[in-house]
Amino acid sequence: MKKLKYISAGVLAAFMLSFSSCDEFLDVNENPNSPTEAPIAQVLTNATVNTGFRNGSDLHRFTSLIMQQFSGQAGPTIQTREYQRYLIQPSDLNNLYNAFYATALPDIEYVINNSEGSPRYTGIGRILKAYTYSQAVDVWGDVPFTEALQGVANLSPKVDDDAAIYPELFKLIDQGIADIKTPAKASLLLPGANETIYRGDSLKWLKFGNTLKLRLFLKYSEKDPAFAKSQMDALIATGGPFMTSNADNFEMAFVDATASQNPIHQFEVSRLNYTFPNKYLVDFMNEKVDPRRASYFTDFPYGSGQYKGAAAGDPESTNYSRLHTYLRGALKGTITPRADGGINANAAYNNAYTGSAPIRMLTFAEYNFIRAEHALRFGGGLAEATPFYQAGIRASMTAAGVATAAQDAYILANPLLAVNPLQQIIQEKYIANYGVALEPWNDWRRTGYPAITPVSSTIAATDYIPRSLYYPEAETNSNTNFVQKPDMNVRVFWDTRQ
Amino acid sequence: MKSLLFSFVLMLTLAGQVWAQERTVTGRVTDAATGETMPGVTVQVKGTTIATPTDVNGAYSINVPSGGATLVFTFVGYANQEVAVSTQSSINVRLALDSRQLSEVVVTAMGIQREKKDLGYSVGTVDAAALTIGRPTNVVNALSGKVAGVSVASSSGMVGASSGIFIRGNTTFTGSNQPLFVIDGVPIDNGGGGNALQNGVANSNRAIDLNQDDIESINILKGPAAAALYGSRAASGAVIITTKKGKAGQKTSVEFNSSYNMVEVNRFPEWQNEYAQGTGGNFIPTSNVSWGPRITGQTVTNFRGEQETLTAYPDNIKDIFKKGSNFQNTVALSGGGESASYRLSYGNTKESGVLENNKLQRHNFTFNGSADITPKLTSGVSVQYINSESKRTQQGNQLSNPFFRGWFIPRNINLSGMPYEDAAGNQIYFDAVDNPYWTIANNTYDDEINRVIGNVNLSYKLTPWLDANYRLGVDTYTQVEQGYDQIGARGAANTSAGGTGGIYDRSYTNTNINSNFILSGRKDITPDFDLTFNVGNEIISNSTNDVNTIGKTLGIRNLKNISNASVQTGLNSKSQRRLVGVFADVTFGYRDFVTLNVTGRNDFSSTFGEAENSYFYPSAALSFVLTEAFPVLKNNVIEFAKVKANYAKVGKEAPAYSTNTYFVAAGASDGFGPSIVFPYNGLGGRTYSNASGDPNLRPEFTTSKEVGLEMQFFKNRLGFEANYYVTNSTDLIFSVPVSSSSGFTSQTRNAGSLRNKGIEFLLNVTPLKTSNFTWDLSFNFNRNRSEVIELAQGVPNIILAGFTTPNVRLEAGQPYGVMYGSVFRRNDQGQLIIGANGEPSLDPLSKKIGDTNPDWTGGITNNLNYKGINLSFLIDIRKGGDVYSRNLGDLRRSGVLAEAAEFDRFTSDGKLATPYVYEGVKADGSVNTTPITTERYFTSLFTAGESYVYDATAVRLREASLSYAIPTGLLQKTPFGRLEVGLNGRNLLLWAPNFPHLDPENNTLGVSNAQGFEFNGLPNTRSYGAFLRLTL
Repeated sequence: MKKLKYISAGVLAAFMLSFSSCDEFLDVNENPNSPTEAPIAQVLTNATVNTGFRNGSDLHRFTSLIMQQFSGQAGPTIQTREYQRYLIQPSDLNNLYNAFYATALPDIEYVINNSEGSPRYTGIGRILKAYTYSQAVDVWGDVPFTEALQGVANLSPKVDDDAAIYPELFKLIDQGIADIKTPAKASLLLPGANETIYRGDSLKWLKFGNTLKLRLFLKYSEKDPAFAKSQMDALIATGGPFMTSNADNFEMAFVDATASQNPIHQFEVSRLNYTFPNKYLVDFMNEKVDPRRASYFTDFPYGSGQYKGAAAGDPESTNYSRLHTYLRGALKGTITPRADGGINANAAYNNAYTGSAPIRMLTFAEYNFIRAEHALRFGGGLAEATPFYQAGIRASMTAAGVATAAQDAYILANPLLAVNPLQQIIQEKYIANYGVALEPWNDWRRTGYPAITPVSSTIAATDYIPRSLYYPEAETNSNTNFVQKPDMNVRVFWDTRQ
Repeated sequence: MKSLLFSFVLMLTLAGQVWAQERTVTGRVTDAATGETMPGVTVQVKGTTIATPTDVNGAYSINVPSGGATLVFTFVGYANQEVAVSTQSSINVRLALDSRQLSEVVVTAMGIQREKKDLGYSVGTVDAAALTIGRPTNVVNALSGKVAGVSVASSSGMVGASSGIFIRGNTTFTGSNQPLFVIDGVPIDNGGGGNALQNGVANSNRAIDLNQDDIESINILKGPAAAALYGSRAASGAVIITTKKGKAGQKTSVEFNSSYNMVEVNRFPEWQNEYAQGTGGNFIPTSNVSWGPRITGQTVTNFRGEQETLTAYPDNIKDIFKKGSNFQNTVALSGGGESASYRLSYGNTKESGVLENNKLQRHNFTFNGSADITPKLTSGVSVQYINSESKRTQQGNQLSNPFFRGWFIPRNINLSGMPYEDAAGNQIYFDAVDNPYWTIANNTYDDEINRVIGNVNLSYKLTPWLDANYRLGVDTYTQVEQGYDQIGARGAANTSAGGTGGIYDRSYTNTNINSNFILSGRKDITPDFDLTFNVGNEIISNSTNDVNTIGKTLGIRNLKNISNASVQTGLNSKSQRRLVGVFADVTFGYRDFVTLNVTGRNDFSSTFGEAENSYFYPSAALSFVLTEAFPVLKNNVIEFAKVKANYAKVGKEAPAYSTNTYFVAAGASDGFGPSIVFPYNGLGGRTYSNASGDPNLRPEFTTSKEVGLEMQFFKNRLGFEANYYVTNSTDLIFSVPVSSSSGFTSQTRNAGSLRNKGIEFLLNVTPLKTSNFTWDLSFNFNRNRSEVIELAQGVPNIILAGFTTPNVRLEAGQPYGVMYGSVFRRNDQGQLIIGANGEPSLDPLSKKIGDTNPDWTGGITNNLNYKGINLSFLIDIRKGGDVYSRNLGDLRRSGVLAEAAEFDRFTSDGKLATPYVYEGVKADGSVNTTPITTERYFTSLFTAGESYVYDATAVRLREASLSYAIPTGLLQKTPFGRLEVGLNGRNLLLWAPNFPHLDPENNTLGVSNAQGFEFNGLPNTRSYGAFLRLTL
């Protein structure tokens, strides 16, 4: 009996002694699943992947539908159909806003703040930060900047004047360029394949930084033409470096694998018949017998060499051209049309594409059109603009797989004329920027080109084409500094065109 | 705390007591009324620890000090008797029933046994007989309707489907509102049971592992006052399960219970069989709706391109189902010697569902034993091993759910008469969803649970008035799951493989360890004043490990091995929580009528930062028996009257790892489906979480106040209990949405408050009682009113579950869980605004379309006995509470219901008839007169979520049994001690006046704070069969 007693006491004592103190026993709240710190190399990967993803997702959908590159179909209450008739509600914008402020920017900020000794990372972070904020300003106008991203230290950041944010972005780009110029051996860590846009190529980042500055300076073309001219002149005089070929495109390549494909393609797969090429864009290109159509769109009827776009308010149908290899990646299977020449959005059709087309964000083509506009308005005029205009078309056509002979023929048939040359440049830029989020809308707000016709008032939700988007509902609910806009006719600071 | 533990160890080593000179007294105890011998009666020498139970023959033998002593004979339900021992060596005693019968002993928090009449709070009890009437697989379902204030939410009738228990409403926003489950003093896990909305199968809550035939009784501690000693985990109440045990002195007996029930779908929609598939009156062979032509035997080309005669198949949907069965067996061996007892049992349950490939098989091995090591030291051990395997079918809002569109298959589809796949295994179907037969056969889910629940306990009598008890308990299980999605599956199924075929292997381990030390004492301070106290300490450790490998793009059909997947993703999530609590429970009794119970507990939880990890909370409960205090009140009518009041506060801990913010695995998504899953192209990625933790997180608290009255009349033929409670929950921990300009979209912190008020009423009547016949009737009623008082500053609502429309949300100023969804445009007078086309249009804003909370719930239990024949039945009543039924919406919009054929769809000249006119006004204010077709009416009705919110009022015959116990007299010459046979059933009848076609008791989300959300749910079932109970 006694023995048993001792044994049980011993077992109990041993159990209790195995925790040497209460505090130590309770000290188990350290998360074994996720760290509180992460290597900047891995954090940057998330930032660049999400930058590419954002530009092929909501941001691209809203702006390509407003700009009549895409058309939303598939029946009433389908989101793309609603967006196209300018029914974009504050609650539709929560995800887009989060893609900037909750997803990309905190990670970019982390890379900048934790890359001491690794200026290549700091520089990429700063340039990306400037790029990201420039897009947020272009979408909403006034947004949080000086008090943003401070975490729980400030859960109600104030909203800054958008005109005051842009100058800060120029500084950021300059700092970033200076960081990147640091010799490689002076940077402890060097980004490589983990940076999914340029794979760590610092020269390309420099070219992008300078080209981005050109893009942003040009935004002042109407608000403050003198500023735009002087800044662009000065930057061009330094010789950049600027983009010199499509290899310098600021674009994110995607991969033909499950949950790694480009988001435009993925949307086609998951949201059948939601999106077709817009009649406006297709007709525009039909008129010029544009050879890019062969990779931009499928033909309709399939195999006919003819192209048909969809328009807002069309009855539900799939008898249109569809998005093609330029946006969805190369064909790896065969498309089998219906008897009427339309294509069913089934698994066989969707699996025919690799889904690995890049999401293009700032291309060599756009660089050339920026230079063409600069030359036309602030430089040597038509003659100086023409080579850039032509180089822009060629860059775009090369990306679209158009043979040189066809490029030559198109350029010959569509010379830059003295009548409305700016309209011509922006129209070509609009075609070249098929698949580029936001920029076509920026150009239209700035210059009025291409002169799209608002969606018919019988179906449009507003009597104007939006000049900015509403603040997201989640923000106006949770941050009293946000005052919702009365409508989407509120303009961003550089949008002064009447 | 540490010192407390060591003091216990020291106490254990105390030397035994020296014995005085003694002699032996023997005797027999019999029942004063029947004269039968009474085993198990405790015989104790008053004022000492010397005690012994009577044996099977009611005999005892005890050593008493030679100097003279008093023997005390005690037995539950009988009046104590004391006999002075002078020189006798034999003392026979006749014990009489306690006239009040109220000295019923109830197991309360921490296993402390107390007399029911002394309780200052409300405890609901369900004994084995009441528990096992309906014989559902999930023991939680067996509690439905039986206890006032306790509502059981069953999610569906599928094999293994979960059921939630909600006691007196909800006490927290997004955390679990499920009560703590305790078996024989060991808290166990009842987790799981929540379902994904858009993929997967119906999951089980883990109490489903228990064998109801091992359960002696279940006590439900309703709310904080009753459960205060359990602290952090019992804010939502506690379910205290006591298992059957052998008794000391009991002869070895064998108990055998068996039941066999058929299972079938309890309600089918009423379909029309006049019109074929198609739209606009035209036959369209690929259409999934039935707005086609009248079926007149015409020849059409079906979806396979073959000519066929158009025919209605009235049973094409019913035929998908089969009759299921539920077979339960338990055999138990129990017995006891003088100082030891045991019970050993084996049970198995075999359930076959109403769909093919839906099965559950469970084995329960249980051992309970106790032994007196010395007269002062007793020990006990209890072990349960459970093995359970199941197969299940997909559910939810996804194309692989066989009933995603299965309830409204066009009337002319001869589903059972056609093959569902070709020779290569590709499915054959007219619609873009999975063929129901194909998905049931091909998209599979298998799981296996191995679980051990056990405890060892020691009790040492330090002095005659002071006991030390120690219990070490463990509950650990591993759940191994494999989901297989066939190549060509069209829905998300288990893995969302997008038709490439998918497989996942998951292993989930959950371990709970509980160490519990209590010193309990009892002392009469004065003859009128006694004191009972328990002080103790509890240590809890919970750890989980979830390892999951998801593979997609399968190479070989039906090779259910992860190596078959060319793309694989590994996931792992671990968690650990610990808690240390010290507590005291003191009860003061004044004479026989005042009992004041005061408790205090301090918890130290690992889930908080050091500054906030210690928190204290008190409770006080008072019971005052009026009829004892003022005997003048007692008369022929009033037998007993008691008032009670209590106040309690309970703190609740946070989810693990909520005090910090982490870098989580990278990824991208936009809410439309497109997503990037890392590793991306061979790259790992990390992103700063959008959800911030809060280092200053502190416990949330629930405070409750309750008053109640209990009375008995007419010699206990009539009794009632009425309780009123108010529960306030404050500082609730939830993920508060914040401005994402900060870099976070939410922060887990303390915010918000919530209130529940309610009344409970319990009535027990014995309307008839003769020597041969008794009729006992019990009625319980609960009305709970909840209000979300505040969420967080600037947060008007949070969505608990659902879609943009509809969803179930919490909104300040509203009851807990209101339904929001799209509504039709109306004018200021509330009239529908009808367009020129004769149809209403949608309001751009979602509005409140329903309240998921019932107005009240109740149950009526009847028990009729006539000479061994017993009839028991339970009527379960729910009044009000809305259910959003996507199935009903789909059934109506697709034109398959009888009501869609109420009016002829065609005019005599073959054109589409227009029998419907929406009641409403046109834009100019004039009354709408535009007639529309049946198709347009039902289709337009569907566009607004408000059109398929239904009142879930239901009265059901929940359980019934009719049995016959063969009189013991007849069994005397047989080996049987008891033999009972009977018929039983569950969910036998349903009356749902405002809910057409389907059973409203369905929740696609399973155990969830969001109730009333049915999204393509699988059906509920009824069961009926026979049972046998015998002892040898």
